[in-house]
Amino acid sequence: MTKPRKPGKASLRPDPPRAATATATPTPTPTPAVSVVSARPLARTAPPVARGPGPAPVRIALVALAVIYFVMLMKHPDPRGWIRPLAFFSECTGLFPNADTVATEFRLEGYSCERKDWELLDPRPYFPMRADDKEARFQRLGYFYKGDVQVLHALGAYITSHHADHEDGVAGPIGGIRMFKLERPIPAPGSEIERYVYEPLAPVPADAKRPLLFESALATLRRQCKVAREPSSRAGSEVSPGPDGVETVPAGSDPWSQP
Amino acid sequence: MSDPRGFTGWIDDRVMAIFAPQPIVRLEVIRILASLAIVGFMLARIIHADDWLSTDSFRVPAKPDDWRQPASFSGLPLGLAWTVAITLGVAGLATAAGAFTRIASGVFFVLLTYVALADRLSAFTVSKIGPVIALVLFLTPSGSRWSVDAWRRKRRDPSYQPPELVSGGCVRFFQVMLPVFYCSSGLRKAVGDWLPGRATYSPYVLWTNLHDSYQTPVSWFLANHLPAFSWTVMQLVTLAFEVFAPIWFALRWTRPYATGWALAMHLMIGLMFGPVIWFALLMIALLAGSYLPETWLRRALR
Repeated sequence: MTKPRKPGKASLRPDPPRAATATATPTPTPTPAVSVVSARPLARTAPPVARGPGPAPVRIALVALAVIYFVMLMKHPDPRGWIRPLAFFSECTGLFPNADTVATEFRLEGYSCERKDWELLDPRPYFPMRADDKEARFQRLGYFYKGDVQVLHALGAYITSHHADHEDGVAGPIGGIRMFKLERPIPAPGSEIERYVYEPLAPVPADAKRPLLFESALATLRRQCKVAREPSSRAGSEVSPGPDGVETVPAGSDPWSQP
Repeated sequence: MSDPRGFTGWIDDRVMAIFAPQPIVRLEVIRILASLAIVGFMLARIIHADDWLSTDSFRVPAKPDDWRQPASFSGLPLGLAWTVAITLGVAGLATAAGAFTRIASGVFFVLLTYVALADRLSAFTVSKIGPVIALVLFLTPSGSRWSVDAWRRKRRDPSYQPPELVSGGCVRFFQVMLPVFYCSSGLRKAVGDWLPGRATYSPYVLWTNLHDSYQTPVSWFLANHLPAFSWTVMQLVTLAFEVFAPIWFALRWTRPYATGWALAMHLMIGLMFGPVIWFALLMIALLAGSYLPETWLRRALR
């Protein structure tokens, strides 16, 4: 006889099949007739098997595709040409492979046309999705495109053109943006650490570095600030890609008074 | 007694065992939990569909042959962006509920694929494995039990008995995917900074990732209370688990421990690295459906 199981206690072993349980009860000595009777319920209760769509060759092809996917997970294909979208979906196993040397976040500054100075600008109104963490689109933009002038120029144009619609910490019109990376040292292992809070308008900590990644071109600042002061000059003022990230505007200087 | 068919017979038996029918409860648990985890991840994006997909948001200029852009899609008109986002959420929830599962999971797959390719800035690991999971749910008979579809069919035909088993590949896919994923991830870590003896080795990889917006109250508390060496211990155990995951999950006697460790690891990842919680929940869903005892799963769905 099988040992009765304790009710309500989970077991790592699978439940015994019903037929086995039935035959475990005391029964008379089996005869051919009894065998026939016990076989019928077994045949009737044989569990149906749900199958995937299509005939066997289709399902075999699906197995082959699954194997290819597993191989791509192990050996990421070079993301070139037509295979790029496929490679993208298999490039997902590189999870924290490297140690951080500094804690980073990306920040923005806007050039105030009125105060003629760079001021910290809050990117969250422009990128509201998961705005306070590293999954924000702005932080991802900084991570992926930090050296890409074309993309950052487009960002500058977007921020400048939408500035009037958002409360971003910079009052009045802006002529352009600059983007920098805030790099804070990582505390020694085991030392006491402070609770991290993302504050894009907080002053840069004294122990942090702030390498400049991009700055709107001087010509762009002049043009945008002129448009802001003289709305009638808006026609034909479309921002064109200039030598962004090359010229710098010192704080306190007047970009449109320069030659 | 030795098999008279010899080694070939032994191989045949192993292959047949791989594709032998499996309890459908495993597939259904994955359908329910994984779909919910993916929708949970997407929810933060869905509620900002304008920032995510529309022309009203900042769109990265198209850059042909750029490794960062697997494909280039223009932004959608605002109304269409909201339609896509809401449809994605509804399709995911319908898949989890098993309502019109074949259609819902198909739509879920297509839209997950689109949003992953349309905005590289908001694509993460869940964005990449989500479409694969949805595709498998679409191609398998998921939704045959513990679903709205099964309930509707039973109402139409009271004699209908939903299946107990599903063809093996439908479940084996997930059971194989997990150790392959871990192994690949472990190898990436090993050639990164995780493996002692390498020039780039750092004993504090985990510690260095606790000082930005991934930090949670739990990780902040642990960072201030655990001794420094504990981060190295966790790092090495994780590396050993991941690199050799195919062995841990293949051997019958190590499998329960591997499952337990993986569940604990993802629980800690979810608690310690804030935004990564949905990835952790997705992996927990796959682990639960693939490797927890069948009786536990049946009891949970009863």
